[in-house]
Amino acid sequence: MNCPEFGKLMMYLDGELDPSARDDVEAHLGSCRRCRKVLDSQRNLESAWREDFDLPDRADFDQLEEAVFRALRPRRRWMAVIPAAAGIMAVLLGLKLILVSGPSPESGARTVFSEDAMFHGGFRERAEHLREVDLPEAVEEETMADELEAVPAEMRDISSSPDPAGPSDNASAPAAVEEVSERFFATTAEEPDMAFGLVQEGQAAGGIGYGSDHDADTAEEPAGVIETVTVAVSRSVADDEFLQQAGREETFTLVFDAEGLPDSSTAVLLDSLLPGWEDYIPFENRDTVVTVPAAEAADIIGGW
Amino acid sequence: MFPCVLLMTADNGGDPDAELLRRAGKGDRDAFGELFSKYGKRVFRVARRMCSSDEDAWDITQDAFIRAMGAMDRFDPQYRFFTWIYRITTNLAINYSRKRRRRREVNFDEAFDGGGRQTTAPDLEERAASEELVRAVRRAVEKLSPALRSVFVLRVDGELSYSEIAETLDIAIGTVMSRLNRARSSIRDELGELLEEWE
Repeated sequence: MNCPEFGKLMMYLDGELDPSARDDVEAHLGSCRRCRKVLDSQRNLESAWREDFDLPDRADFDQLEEAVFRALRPRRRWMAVIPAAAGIMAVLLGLKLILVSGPSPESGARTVFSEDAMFHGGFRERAEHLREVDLPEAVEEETMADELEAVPAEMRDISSSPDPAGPSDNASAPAAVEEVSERFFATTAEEPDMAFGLVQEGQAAGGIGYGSDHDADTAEEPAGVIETVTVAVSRSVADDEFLQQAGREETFTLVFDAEGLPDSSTAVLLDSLLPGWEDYIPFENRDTVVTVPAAEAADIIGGW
Repeated sequence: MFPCVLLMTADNGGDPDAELLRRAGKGDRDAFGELFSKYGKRVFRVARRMCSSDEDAWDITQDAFIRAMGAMDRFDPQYRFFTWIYRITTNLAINYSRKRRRRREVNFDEAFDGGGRQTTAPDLEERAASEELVRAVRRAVEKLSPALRSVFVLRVDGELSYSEIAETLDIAIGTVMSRLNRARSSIRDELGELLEEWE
């Protein structure tokens, strides 16, 4: 009997042969020292590879488990405050539309190259580029209160109280407002995953381009014009919520780091617009911020 | 907690994790803990084998769970949870690996030696022939392309069957077999004469 091909021996090793083929190989191995050596060496090689690995301590995994659970947990509260979030976004956009003068944004994709688009250190480092939205307090509270009215009572319960016992009364409203306020204007230094609602001065923060202008290095802003605003949405904001938010935007801003890789908010968008993008995006967009019209985003990105 | 998980209970009766996912979807901490206990270490192992540092492996593991649990609405119920999370893990790891490769700042062998992954002290390692072979295997695996390495790691470390690997990577079983053969042949070629010590 001729020696089986290497692939067939490996299938035998992996237990992937049907019984008949397996019997044939075993019969051959009984009489072929060479094939036995190949099989033994491969088995030993892989066994050594498998054993050459120490898992970290259990405590490390426990910590990670807790971190992941915490990262996922706020979703319920986020679900509850989505209407309020939409309201705040609307106010921000409205302010910008009212106060910004000058030429309208160009149509089509724009690309700018910016050293500041590099976010080597991930969210924590990136958060240092962010500052809180400086909304007038009165506008903020009024908006929160108005939006809260629109939130169904049961959702207010979720957002305002960790106590599952019964629906809340009117007294819960101030608590909900307070929580919304915290969520949207929390500082990210300690909690970088909660970057939602923060804006970045001058440079792109990635994620949703909120009527933003990334030509800040060169653009001169007329006096009295509100500062360009980019809303940064972190990856801990659940993908579906992120995409709901993104779906309301006129433009998407895609941020690629020094390696030409998208930041995580951009990755979420790409996941949605272009499943499998990892396989064919050319990774040539180093230090690049690309703003594309939302309606044409899939076509433009697909054409890269 | 993960509302979309609730959508996937009807069609994936074959998935032994369906009940856990359903409970985790309702915010059941114990169910989530059980899922994490079941797959956390496996995901970390695959991630660690695919990338070059503990730090990256931790990041990938965390990211994989957050993405998997947070985007269940895109989970196809005809698949199993573990292939879904392995898929996310390998994709993330490939991205990390591309990033590292571009930076050219990580030597795979040094990273392993310094990353606490070794089971043997460095001075002994230098003298132990078997350790030399193991290091040679590491180098050989590091040279594999991400596509070949992911198949090798899922088979040898993850101990997945060919069909499970195909499901995880969304490729045909024939492709799994050919990639696995190429990976193994390449490793054997790299080892050369050292391989005889194992024969």
